Amino acid sequence: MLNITIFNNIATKKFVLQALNNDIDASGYVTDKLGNRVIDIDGMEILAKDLGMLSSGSKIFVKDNMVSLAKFYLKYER
Amino acid sequence: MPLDVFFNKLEKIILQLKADFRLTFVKIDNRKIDNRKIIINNIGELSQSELKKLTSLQNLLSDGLSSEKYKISEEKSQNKTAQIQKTAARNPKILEFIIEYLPPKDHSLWLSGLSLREKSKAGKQEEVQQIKEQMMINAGWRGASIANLANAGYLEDHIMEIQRVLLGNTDNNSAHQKFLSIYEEIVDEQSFIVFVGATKDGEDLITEIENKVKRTREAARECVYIHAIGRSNVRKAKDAVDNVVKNDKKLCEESIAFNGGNKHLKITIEL
Repeated sequence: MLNITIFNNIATKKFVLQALNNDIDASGYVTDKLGNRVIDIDGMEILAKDLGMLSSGSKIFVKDNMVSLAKFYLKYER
Repeated sequence: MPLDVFFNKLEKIILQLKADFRLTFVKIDNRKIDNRKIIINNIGELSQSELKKLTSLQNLLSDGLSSEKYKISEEKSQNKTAQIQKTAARNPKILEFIIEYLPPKDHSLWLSGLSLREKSKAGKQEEVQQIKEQMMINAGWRGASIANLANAGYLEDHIMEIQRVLLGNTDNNSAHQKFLSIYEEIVDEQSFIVFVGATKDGEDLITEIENKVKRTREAARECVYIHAIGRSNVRKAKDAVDNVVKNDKKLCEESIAFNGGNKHLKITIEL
């Protein structure tokens, strides 16, 4: 497992997202390589500013929110 | 690309960029590849022309991450995850109960609620408020309700107890359905509980307690619980309960329990 810590700003997130074939649209939402907005672990579209974590596999996007991160922990890390 | 090759390439690029960029990469190698870590600092500080020169780095990341398991996170999320892991490790039996008996949509809310309670017990009110707000952002009223219930100890004191009495060690589906219906009533309506917050004034509070007493009687339950945290809320709760008990002769007993000096008050009105 490779852990990457990123600085919490849009430019840094955009840099990393683009390296993963994702991007950020004009409204600030995270998109896939086709430009469609991705769905996060809560089943919602996710603003790049709210993105707290991203993991490999089927690429799971998680908001920087205690409950969303707890959901990721219970589902994938426990 | 094997991780070692990825890191070797990364190192070469970092060396090339070092003099020109404020961007820094740190590799923490605890002699275990699994523990290696890259820290990407503020790319936002770089100019567009500088960013263009980073294409090679972006391409390398793209190649490196395509075949590796990875977790990319910012520091605040890492701190929250660490808190979640600690809470889970300190409460294994409660967590087991949550996962086995409560609705899946509530699992992460209760785990967050247990974290909130740990912060509350440590007197970190600002963090308590932050976690509660996040629970509300995630799940609205239900998030706020579970935050209050978890903080007041309802999971162990009531919900687990109700489950134990109803199901015991049996695997009875109808008993489980009954338990879920009572659970929903507690979380959704807090039908026999009043949480005294700063926004409730005296008259509203008296009316709310009277309504809860009425509904609790109708449901043939025995007690209404009133919780207040903080001096001003505690005083408000005591005054309101005094009023309700004075006006309702059938209310025969009142017990008051303090938890943490006079900061956290639990009043039980027995019907």
